[in-house]
Amino acid sequence: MIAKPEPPIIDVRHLSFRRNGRIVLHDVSFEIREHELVGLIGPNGGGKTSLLQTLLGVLHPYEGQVQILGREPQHLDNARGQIGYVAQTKQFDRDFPARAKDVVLMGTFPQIGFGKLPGAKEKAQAYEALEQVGMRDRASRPIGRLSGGEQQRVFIAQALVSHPRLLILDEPTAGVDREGEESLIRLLTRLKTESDLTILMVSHNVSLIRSHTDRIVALNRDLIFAGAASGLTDQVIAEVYHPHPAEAPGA
Amino acid sequence: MLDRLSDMLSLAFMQRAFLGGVLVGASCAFLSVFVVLRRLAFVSQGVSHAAFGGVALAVLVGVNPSLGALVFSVGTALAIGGVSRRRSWVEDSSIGIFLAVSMALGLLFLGLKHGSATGLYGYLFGSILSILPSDLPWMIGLTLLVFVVLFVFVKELYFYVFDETMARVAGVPVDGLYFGLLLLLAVTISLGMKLVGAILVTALLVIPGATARFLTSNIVVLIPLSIAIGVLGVLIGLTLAYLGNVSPGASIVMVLFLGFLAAFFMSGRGS
Repeated sequence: MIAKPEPPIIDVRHLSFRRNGRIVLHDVSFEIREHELVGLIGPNGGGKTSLLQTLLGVLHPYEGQVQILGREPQHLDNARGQIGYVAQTKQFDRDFPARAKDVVLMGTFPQIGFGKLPGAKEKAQAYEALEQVGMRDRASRPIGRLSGGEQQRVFIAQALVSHPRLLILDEPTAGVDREGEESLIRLLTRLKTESDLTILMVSHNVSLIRSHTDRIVALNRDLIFAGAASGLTDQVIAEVYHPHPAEAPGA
Repeated sequence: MLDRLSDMLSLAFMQRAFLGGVLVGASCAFLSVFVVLRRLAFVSQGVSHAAFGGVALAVLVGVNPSLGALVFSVGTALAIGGVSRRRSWVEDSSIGIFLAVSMALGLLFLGLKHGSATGLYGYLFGSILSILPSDLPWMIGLTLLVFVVLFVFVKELYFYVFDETMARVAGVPVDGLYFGLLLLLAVTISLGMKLVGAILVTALLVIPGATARFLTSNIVVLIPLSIAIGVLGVLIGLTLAYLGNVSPGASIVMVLFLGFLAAFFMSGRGS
């Protein structure tokens, strides 16, 4: 008997999204299966962050069908805890009164519920997540006093603390030096195996994505490419970063 | 000196002022932690000035001025929140507009009220005699409301003021928390106005949190420290107002400001 294949973790079919009458995403279809490390690339304004926000249920309504963990993004409810998210721009005040462990602990708040404070269980989870990203020894440092790469690790720990199945990262290597970038991607590769994670990450660093991910999704409003990382040729990359027809002079 | 202090404590209106002051100081100072972290100082300024319009309207139509202040504060807080949520850049501008319009309305209402508008000075700048026995039950009720709401949502508010995007994605109801904060601001402003006045009540919503922020980076310490600073500032300020026969609003604000300056220099940021 042949086992029925597991449904994809992310299933996007004919997704289109407009903002203020402008096409942000046009007829995008792809799927991501369990335990894959997938890179999402594309130029600025190519729809990467909008795609992530649609998957997270922040942007709607949209045209087409989107399923994440078998549900529509705006009806994730309890399944929301199975998704860890690390946002692109950290707008937080560098002087904010929070230590690394406080930031990680915030990731447990939705599971605790209103009116209760984190207890020993949640604190142990926070230390465990900091350990996973190699930041346990800096748990009591103020978040604003850490380097860009260290802050990013703390935010990954915040996303990991609820033991998600899916980790979504929007440009985690932005503002991190080359050494930090390599170290972060090695961390993600290790997490994928050790924690049984599916990872979707946006990056501008195409060579990094090409050499470390299993599959790549390339967007420039339209879906340009979705397939094995080895299939991303220089020709495809040129097409991805070519100005979209709607942006071309005289369009 | 001790005799004067003893006299002060035996006076019924001073006992009420101290009890009311502790309630006002504690609830404003708790909220001020989030006002400082979410940078809502200007919002609180706008809402408190709107309260003046409500007081003037209440005087004109002959209802309780505190009720007028509460209705106008809540209305303005919701209007600022509603406009800001639609267009993020508008928060600052909308406050400037609502602040000026409410003050203008207040002056218009006062103009329509023929004769003197006795007692309005107290609503603008505070009065030591203003807290009546009938005020205490609702002051206790509103303080309890502020404390219960802040306690129930304290960790979600902390997440929200740290990183709104992440909190939203994690399922924290950030829009509800934003409006909740604005409503609590309106409630505490109408509470504090009787004692320190509409013009000066913002100080109670900003200085304790800002002072505590200079003294600690630990959120678990920050909240009780801010409350202690707020309550102490009100108690010392009220005492000095009685002894010096000056406006309690002015004296409370100056005491809080001296504490703020001390914390600023103690934290090493003044050097």
